[in-house]
Amino acid sequence: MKASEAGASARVRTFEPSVFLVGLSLFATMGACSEEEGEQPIVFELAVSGAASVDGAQASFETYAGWKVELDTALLSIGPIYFYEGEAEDGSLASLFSLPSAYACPSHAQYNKGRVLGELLRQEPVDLLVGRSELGALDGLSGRLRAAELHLHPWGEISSTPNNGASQALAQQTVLFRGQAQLGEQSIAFEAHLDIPDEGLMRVVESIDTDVELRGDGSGRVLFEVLLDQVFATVDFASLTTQEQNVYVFTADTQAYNALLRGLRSRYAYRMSWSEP
Amino acid sequence: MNPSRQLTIFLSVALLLSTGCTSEDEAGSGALSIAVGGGAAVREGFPHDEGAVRFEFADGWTLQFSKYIVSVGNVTLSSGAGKTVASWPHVMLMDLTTSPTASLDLALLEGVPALRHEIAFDVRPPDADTTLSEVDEADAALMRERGWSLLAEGSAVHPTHGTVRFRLGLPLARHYYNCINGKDQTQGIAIEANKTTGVFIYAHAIHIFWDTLSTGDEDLRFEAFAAMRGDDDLVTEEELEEQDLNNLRGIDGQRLLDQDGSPVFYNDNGLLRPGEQTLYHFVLQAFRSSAHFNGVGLCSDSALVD
Repeated sequence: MKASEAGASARVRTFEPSVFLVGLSLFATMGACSEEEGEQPIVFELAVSGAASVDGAQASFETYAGWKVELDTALLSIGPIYFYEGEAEDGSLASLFSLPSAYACPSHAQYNKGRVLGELLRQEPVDLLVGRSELGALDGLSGRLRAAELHLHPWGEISSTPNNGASQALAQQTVLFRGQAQLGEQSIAFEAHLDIPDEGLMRVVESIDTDVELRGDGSGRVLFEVLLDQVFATVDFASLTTQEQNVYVFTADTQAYNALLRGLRSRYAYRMSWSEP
Repeated sequence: MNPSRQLTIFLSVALLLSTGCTSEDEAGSGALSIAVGGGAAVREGFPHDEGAVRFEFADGWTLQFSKYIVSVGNVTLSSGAGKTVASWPHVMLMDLTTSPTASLDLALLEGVPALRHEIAFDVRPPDADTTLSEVDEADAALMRERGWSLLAEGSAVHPTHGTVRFRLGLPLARHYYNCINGKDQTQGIAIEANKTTGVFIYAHAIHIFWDTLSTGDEDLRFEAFAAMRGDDDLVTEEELEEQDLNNLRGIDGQRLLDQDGSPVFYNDNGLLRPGEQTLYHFVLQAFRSSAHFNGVGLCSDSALVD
């Protein structure tokens, strides 16, 4: 045994009160005023799909206002999306357990939304009727995802993927819906091809509530669903007045336009889930 | 024991003893005086100026409050660990219009450890034990009966549409906590030893007339309220439930338009569910976000469960 190794061995065997106290002190210092963060860098997949809030076909649903809607086109320019660790305003846990729920305030500073656990920084044209659209892998941090923030800009306004059929159909608007709505004997063919006014944070859907644990080795997936029955929840199709080639179009002076705008901006029109193979 | 080891042990013990924050016993104590203020909106109505900013309705109305009665209380100060160090477990009903400064005293907490504390409070409907500050018993009885934590009354005038009175009762019951101090943007309040520190809960009345629950591009409006007036030229909270946010009507019964002719949109920030998309529910949420601490310091809030 070399002398240096003998010394090291001796130090291991001997209880050293000063070392113990230094260690204890540093441990206590760390614990006194902060909580250790445990996040790890991860990669996860993101997919987007149209859906209904209750079981049923995504293209066919009944709205809160009682209209039976059949969609044959549902295109949405989606993104950026930010996934936050902070609790959503009026989140499900807040209502159940009276936990924190922060809010924004007109003309005042916004509340801290917590750490960003993942983000889609570009926009994607998504066909909501074709099942799951895979948007690829995102870098992120492990942790408990509690809220998301969705940005809805006209197609082409944000850095985006190359054009495809959906983006060409969107034609620099944010949404394109076509379909048929029925209430009693009344049947209305409609088209909604519009963007959201660029005023304040109108193009941002804040505080989308969720409770998803992001973890794993890159094989996990966040499925971000657009709940089409909620998007159209309060639309009164009978308020549409302008026809183009026998199809009623959504114009800004109608209840239907305002209600669709409110539906697209509703935090209850989106849902997230996590899956691993 | 060699000198260096002695020094190490001494420093370690000193470090260990210093790891907790200053104890309550060592800190001394002070007092906290808490007021509730309604600001210039309650004091002067609309329009009014705050510094260089003029707050006025975008649709040409002017407005004065004759009553702004809020029900506030259950103030607690707590340590970072959540331990309550002082509290005022009562509720007071106060009409802020009765004060020239639109501010009334709520409570005085004495013997508070001279440390920084979290502050929390409730906005909640009055009950039989609620004390009254410049509020008559008839209004208190009405608020108790209806479960209102706000009763705002006044009148608004438009050069073309004339005068419309309003009486809005709102049944908010929320707990506000984790408050940011609006004066210095720190969290909570620092109590100084042997002094009385003054703070105020800001019942920021301007909120109930903003057309957004989000941030930015806000306008103050009254026509959507005025349009729902009854034959008595009075608009109440019940009538606001008839104003559909997706189909807003102006005072002429036609679609409510902005000055530039575009339809007015009340931005609920995606918060109101189907069935709640009315001006009444919008104003209730606006009142919820109107409670601040020491200026425009924001708080987290949660529903009261009792």
